[in-house]
Amino acid sequence: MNYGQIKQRALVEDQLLSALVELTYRCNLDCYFCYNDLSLKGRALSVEQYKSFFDDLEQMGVMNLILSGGEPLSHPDFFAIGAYARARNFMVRIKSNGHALRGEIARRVADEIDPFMIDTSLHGGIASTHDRQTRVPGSFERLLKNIAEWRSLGLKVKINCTLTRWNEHEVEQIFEIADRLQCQLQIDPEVTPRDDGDIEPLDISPTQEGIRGLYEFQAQRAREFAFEGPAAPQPATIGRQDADLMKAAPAGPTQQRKHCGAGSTGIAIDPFGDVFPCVQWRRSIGNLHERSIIDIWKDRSELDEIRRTTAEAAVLIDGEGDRGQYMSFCPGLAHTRSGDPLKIYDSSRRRGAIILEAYQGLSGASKVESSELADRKSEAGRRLPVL
Amino acid sequence: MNTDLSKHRSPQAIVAHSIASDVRFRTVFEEGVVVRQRAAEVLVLNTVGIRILELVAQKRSVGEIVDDLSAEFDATKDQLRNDVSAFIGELVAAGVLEVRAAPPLGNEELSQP
Repeated sequence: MNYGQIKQRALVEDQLLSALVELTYRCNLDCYFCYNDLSLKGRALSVEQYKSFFDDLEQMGVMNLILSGGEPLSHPDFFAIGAYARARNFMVRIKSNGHALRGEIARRVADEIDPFMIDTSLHGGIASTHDRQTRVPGSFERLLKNIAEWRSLGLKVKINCTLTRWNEHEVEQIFEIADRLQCQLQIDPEVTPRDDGDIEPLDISPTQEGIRGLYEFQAQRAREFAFEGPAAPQPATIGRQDADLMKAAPAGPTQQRKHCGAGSTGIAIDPFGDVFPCVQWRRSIGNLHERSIIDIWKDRSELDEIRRTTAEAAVLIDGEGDRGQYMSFCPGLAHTRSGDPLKIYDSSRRRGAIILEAYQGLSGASKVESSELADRKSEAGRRLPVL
Repeated sequence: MNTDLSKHRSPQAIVAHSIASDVRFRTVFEEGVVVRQRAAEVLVLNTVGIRILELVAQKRSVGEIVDDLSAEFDATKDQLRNDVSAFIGELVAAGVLEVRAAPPLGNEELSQP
């Protein structure tokens, strides 16, 4: 099997590949649209529990571990947890707002955790827009300076940006920043409700014109930078599900084809040990205070329903025709919005139609990101000649 | 570049390889998924290949790896010796393995992949 086939098989056979770990909901920024449910209380997992959890994940064959939050660096034992993940041979990604990740802390992250990538968030192309979102003056300038420092340490960086009504006119500047700092960039046009169902953040959802502008700009870049003919950007993913290298590939035409890897190839864990099918789908399938992840994974009572739902979602999206592939429909988000993971929300349909139109005339399947200009990489499954 | 170390000396004398610091690997569906983080590259090894990587991680020498594999697989040590040496050479060339220390007899070709 090549790597693509392994991912495909993992999706069909429910082989866990990736775990996103929310270490804490503490944060040193105060983003207006933060999705975390800050009212959640519970008994935080201990360092020893994290170590045991990582041991289990390793035994299960999981390689991709995402340390998230809140701001994961604000966990008092962040380095102990991260270093243990490194020692257990995980490919670690750190999702950080970047504000504290500088100087000695940045050097320790590089040395002690050696992450595959730092994922950070940029909220605008100019300081006033970014700082309006974070509600911390100076956070924009500090983030750009910090990203440059990470790059100088040899760290790979992915910039995630949620398109909003506030920043939709700054797409070109955001791309320029990513190009200049030689970072990957993903702009997601979906503002999501908070995990407690609060829809206030949707007030700053981007306009239709803003979404159209984003995808037309990306399509233009695809035309300009394609090396071997035009390449169409792939359907954008829900930003909070990203774990590119280990993300399950879309399944082929089998009876078990699933729309996504929620509860099959991926899980998310909150600071209090609750395990979810994905970071967006806040339906607990068990708690690490009560059972190990191995036991939770073996007990299929909850997971099977999640997996059936993702299979049903695949059929549902097929019914949307050509735009379906660009809708980035997320059952978890549908669940948060309406309580029904199979209820397609309007913004998904609108996005599908806009992207389909913007990408008219493009062909191919590889997303052209700003990062590819600086760091053309291959994740194709190459097979060495072996015995 | 000739990476077949067995042509130059007895594999038993070649002691030291280690997994490159940016390499992560797991066994999934009996296949070895090997990631070179810095290159963002994925290699897929078969069952024997990933077993060799595991043994290197345990700091086993080539000679010891040959001994281990001969007990686990239906192959002669002579067959294994050449294959293991060649394979390790491939992994060194691919950046998955590093030569960890100078071999006992000293030989300049072993100081480079």
